[in-house]
Amino acid sequence: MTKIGVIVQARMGSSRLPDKVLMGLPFGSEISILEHIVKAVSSVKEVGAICIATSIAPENDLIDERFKNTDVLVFRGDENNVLNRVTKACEKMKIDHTVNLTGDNPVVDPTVLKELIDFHINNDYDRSVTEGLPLGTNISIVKYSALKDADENTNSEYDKEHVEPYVINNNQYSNGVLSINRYKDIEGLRLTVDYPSDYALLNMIFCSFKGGNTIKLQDILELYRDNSWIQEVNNGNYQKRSYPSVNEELRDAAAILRKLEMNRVADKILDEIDK
Amino acid sequence: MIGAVIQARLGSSRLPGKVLKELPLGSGKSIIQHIINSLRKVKRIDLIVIATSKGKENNTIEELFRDSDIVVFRGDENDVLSRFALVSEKHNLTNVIRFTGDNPIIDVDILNCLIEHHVNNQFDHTSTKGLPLGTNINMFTANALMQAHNNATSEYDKEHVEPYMLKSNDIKKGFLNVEKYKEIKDLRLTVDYPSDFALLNLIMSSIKDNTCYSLSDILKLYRNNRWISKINESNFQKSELVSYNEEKQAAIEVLDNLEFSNARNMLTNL
Repeated sequence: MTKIGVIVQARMGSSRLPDKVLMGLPFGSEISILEHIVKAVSSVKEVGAICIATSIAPENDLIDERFKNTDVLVFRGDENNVLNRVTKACEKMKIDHTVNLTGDNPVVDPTVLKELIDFHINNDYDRSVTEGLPLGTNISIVKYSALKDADENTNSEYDKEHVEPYVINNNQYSNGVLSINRYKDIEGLRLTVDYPSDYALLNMIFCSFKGGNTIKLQDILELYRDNSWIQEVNNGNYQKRSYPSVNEELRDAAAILRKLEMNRVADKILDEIDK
Repeated sequence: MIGAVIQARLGSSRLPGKVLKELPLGSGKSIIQHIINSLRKVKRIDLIVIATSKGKENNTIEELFRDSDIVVFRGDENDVLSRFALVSEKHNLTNVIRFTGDNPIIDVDILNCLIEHHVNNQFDHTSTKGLPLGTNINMFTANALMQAHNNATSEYDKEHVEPYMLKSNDIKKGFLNVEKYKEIKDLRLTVDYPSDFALLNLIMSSIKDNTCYSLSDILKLYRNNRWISKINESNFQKSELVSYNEEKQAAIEVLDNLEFSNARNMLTNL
């Protein structure tokens, strides 16, 4: 019998938001971001085991303590080689497939998760991923055997830190994409917690749903239709990235400044690119 | 007669209809309702007026308060000074405390102190100093207001109500310097941008007494969670960036925060 597990990679100590994975959501609530994730995935019956994969660093003892008397396994592994951490966690859980989530992303839609699992199993892919969902809500599932290969064969730091690139970029593995179209309106929302204003948006969303049910993308879509301005709470935030050329960075910088109505400065920067 | 006059209108470009938006989202209480709730706690206020414009989008405001003790006054769209003067005249006010629909946090203790300070010292214009953006309060006599209304000629003075009084040498000005909130002086507790709304949403939803939001509660919250100031600190009042150099400085700060080091260095050296 095929066993499917969920592995949430998470650690304490974020520079912008201290210990965000254990922060309550909404603000001041007893239920932390990690607990929202666990609760959402627990409601999917195909999920046979749940694990939080954190590092051996002592600050993560707090995560251990929080989940001590629960069904959730807290696995401690390598600080930087997350691929190895996740692979080892799979072994410990004895699972054949792992849904890889991260502690940055509090919104996990159980319906989407179930759809992805069915899609992945029915098509017998090595890895499957959703597409078309808001930033921070797309999810992926990978075969343990593929991850094990990756862990044994890759030498790249990037592959080790980001878990799935080896399986994605290697032709010997089949990658399936589950395209979901019904949430196109909110595809541009940032539902990940990196900056304080990201947290502020999610706080508003979680605050406005009373009753403690797991928040679905459908709920967020409805909230957005009545209040489309909420996207502007954090759409000035950028995923930190490294730019291949200085000009690309300058172009993005100018676009941001223009959005902030600093047109004179933005024009100056663009002039420099043209020179 | 001391009147609290709230200038408010629907139709804001960044947050449409913000004064009637529920804060926290889904709470059933609008920004203007929060303001009124605080003002009702102040015994020395005899009358609460919402001064809005004649624009028909503001009919909603009027309808909302039709059967209440809150007076809704409709006046000129741009000459806000005249709105205040006419309200004051119509209701025989002796003193006016000015509020705006952008600023939902009113500290009742500070407001009480301001009224005492203003009345006891017989100032013409009194303002608090040292409080977070959006929480300073100003109070002036009806005489000073009429003087401004009768003499102000520039669009700017008419739109912003108080500049004429502040410039005039005939007007005796007082200040209430509040020192104890220095640490949060730079918090933006005004609602202009969506992220301003989000900060206030967070603050208000985490303070359990939802009828009163005091600055001491907010200071306590800030001391335990300094990162909250980052939610909206990069927002700025557009009009503040008058010169190119001011804009450049602000841009450098933004780029710094976003870790755009190349763009930042280039701009610095331009």
